[in-house]
Amino acid sequence: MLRSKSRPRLRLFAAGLAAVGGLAAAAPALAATAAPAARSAAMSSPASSSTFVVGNTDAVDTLNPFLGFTSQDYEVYGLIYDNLMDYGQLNYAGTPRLATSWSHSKDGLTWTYHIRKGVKWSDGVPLTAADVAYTFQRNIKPGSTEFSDNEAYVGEITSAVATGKYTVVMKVKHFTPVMNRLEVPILPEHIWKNVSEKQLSSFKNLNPVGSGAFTVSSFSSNQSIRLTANPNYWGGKPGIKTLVFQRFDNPTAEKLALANGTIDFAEGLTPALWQSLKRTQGVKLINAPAGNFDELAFNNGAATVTGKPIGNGNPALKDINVRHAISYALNIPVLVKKVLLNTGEVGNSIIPPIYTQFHYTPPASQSYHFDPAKAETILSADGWKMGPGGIRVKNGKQLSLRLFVRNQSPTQTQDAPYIKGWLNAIGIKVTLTAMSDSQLTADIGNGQYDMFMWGWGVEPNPDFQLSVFTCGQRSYGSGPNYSPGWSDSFYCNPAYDKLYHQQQALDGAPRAKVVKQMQKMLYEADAYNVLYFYNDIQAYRSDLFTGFAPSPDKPNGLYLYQEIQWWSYRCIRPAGSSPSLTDHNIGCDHEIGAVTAPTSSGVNGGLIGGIAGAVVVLAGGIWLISRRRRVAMADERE
Amino acid sequence: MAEAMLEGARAAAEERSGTGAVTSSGLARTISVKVFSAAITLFVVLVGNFFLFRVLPADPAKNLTRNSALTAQQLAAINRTFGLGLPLPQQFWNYLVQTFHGNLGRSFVDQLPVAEKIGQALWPTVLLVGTSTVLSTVIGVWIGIRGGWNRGSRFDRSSTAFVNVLYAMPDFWLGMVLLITLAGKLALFPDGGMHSFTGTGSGLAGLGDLLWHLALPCIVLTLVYLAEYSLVMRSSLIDELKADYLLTARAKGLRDDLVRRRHAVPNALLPSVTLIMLNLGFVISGAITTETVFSWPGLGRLSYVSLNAPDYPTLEGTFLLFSAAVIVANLIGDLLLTLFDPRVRQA
Repeated sequence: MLRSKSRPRLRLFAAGLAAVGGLAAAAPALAATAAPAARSAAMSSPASSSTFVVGNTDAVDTLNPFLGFTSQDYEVYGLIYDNLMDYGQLNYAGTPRLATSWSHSKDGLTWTYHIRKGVKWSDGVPLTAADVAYTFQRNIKPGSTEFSDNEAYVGEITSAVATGKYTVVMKVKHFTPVMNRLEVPILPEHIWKNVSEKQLSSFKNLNPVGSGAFTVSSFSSNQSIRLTANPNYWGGKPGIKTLVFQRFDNPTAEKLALANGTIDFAEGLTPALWQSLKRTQGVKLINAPAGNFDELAFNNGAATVTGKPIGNGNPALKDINVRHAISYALNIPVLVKKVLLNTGEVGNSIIPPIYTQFHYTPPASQSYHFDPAKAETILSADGWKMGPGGIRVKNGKQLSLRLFVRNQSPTQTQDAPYIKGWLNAIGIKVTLTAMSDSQLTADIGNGQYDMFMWGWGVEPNPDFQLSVFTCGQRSYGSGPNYSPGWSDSFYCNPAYDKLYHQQQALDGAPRAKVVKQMQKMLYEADAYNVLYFYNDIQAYRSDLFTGFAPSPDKPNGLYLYQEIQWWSYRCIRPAGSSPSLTDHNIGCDHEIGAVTAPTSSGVNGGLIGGIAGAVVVLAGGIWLISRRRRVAMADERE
Repeated sequence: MAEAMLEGARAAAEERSGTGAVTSSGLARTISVKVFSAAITLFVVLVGNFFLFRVLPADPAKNLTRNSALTAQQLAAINRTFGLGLPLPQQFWNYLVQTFHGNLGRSFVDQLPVAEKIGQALWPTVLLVGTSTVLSTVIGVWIGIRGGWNRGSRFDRSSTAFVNVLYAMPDFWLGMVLLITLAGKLALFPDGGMHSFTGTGSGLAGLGDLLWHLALPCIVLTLVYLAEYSLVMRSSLIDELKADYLLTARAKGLRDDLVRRRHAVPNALLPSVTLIMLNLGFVISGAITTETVFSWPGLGRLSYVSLNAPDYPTLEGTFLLFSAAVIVANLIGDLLLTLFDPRVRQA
């Protein structure tokens, strides 16, 4: 299941950072800011300066869109291929891309899409409705790799037919608003018809033919990819000529590369590294709310889909009062400040606030907040009396809970000791264990846990995230190793499931109302404690490039790596140049102007101090060793 | 009496030159025993490698698909494809057969053949580790010889101190320090990777670009490893200093330089050869941290990335390669010693 790393298109965790994050911490004093050095000679000429280099701690694995699954893979697929729609920059509504308009029949079961005219594939062949129909036909065969890969979008589609050169008609089993946001890359039939389903897993697609704003000029799996702007793009010629994605295994090196100007954009930095760029001249920091949260999950009573109880979760957590008490014992603003370094906000319900139309905010009077006295009152009223060693007891049983954290997550491993302390303070004993993602996945699936910490990346369509709490997502199969579903709380409430199915057939405000009601239900049941929404922290060279089109459309929106959106790439241009784009449909009129970061004084004290310290330690060490050596020699001589 | 002495001398000479019938069959036996025991070790590693990854908690099929609503049929199909539903002995047999055919399975992440992924990562590692091993051996042994021969000299004292400091440094730490100072602040070197992404591609410029990227990780590995060679070489040379044959050599009137080169160093080199061969095996895997610090696309980094994924088939492949490297390097070291040192042959 692997959660944040997984389909459908969930954003990647900071997982890759974990181990190297430790290395980065090894030299914190030295990791201070430096004044930007001149770009290397090869990159300083005006013509080549329209090469925009993005650094990330993740890289493209494969160019075959059916095989890749990381957020970096999707970032590139969305530049090579076009989808039928984009998620809008303002409210995540479906906006035209390859489909110029669409409509559905009264019963909502037949959808007609009008395909953009005059679009050509990168090999010159015209793109028609036949390609679109082919793509969907390929995707809708249940059980196929293609279907599994795009099920979130094509699950309800039963047929896709080109009824004209530029018209496609699709039929669905039930009405679904997903048909307004079909984020499936449209593939050229003349290339892919030669790749059978059997050959799919070994098809590398090294020279992808697409209709997108960029084409691939060189690719090195898991390292870097170089893209060239498509000058004939139907949405207008992009403002940069070349776009490079470069992988850094070491986020400190990535930070240095941005400070030196060898890369222009940095994604995936740790909060500490990101903050250390604050005073670097020419670099602008973006602290963008994104669709992510970390949670403290409770075992609400593990069971299989058939309702058979499994695992060894402490029954105390089935008691809503115990869960409430825990929620009132947590001082989450401290985590946001000390662990996230203020790159996030206190959490509440499971659809993050950037999705304004869907997010449910509990009224202040009902929201959980740090109130240990209240937590203790709740526990005492529930029959948990303070026992020996400051641990509460009820019916002879101690209130002792296990807390599992992922050893790959630098933030969650920092959060856990705080949480343990806060729970100890109200009389709950906590045993902390760090483990691998796969071990934790297995333990969750078998219900062998009390509490754990993990997180989710939520996409603009809330359907999947809501489904995680339905009864059908509990484990299945047979013991001792049950197959995990997506549920990680084992929350099961028929009333919730009913609402889930209800929202699937709705769109717009009526759907949002149901979605909020479902979140309210979860929040009040305290099935889960959404600790915080963590931001996506980014940084870029504002002295070299401008023209970004953030999403949401605000200065602190996501500049790149937007939630299944690619608004900026076509609009980025060298600083000082004027916009060359004609088509306003593609969002460049939403660009944020060049904003200059506060200037720095250059070399910073921490750096000098760090180097001086290192020199002193080194010199001292050498002196000591040579002195000991001399003494030893003298002894020998005597 | 004189005849007997002559006989003995001839036998000794034959033994040394290795031409005697008796000794050459002994050599063949020594070698075959060593090769055989290496093969057994490799097989044990193969078995361990297979079962190690089978006791891990994760369900490979679930990991692989990363998909929410998989039906039981779909899961079964995937298990069939990867042979995960088969009984364990049969899986093991398939694994052995496939491994001997060079088929290490497919990556769980991008479904590329593991052999291909390892093949791609092998050359960068060989380049980096090979270059640094040659450099660290040459420099380390040279420092050791110079220091050991003139024990207590200013060179010896300062080099021993310097080398001790290097010996104590973790390679990732030294890597970070050099990266932050030389690549960061001074921008003398690139921030990592093997090639510039500006696409300054082929021919001489491409080679220059490659060497420029190679410099920092290579310096780190060289500095960290040369310490060991230098210390071992120095101490074994010092052991030889008091040997009688050196006195004889000097008595013959040989120059100090010749005494060192012809007599002391060849004898003192044996422990260093063992150490170099031992390290050569480990160094392929030992470059994990350095490769990660410098984003060097080699085997160490491949292991690190696969561990994060987690991509078990790839890890299985790299583990097997690392173990095989250690075993083979040990074997070569043993064989070299057999050739260099008659005492080993007789034992």
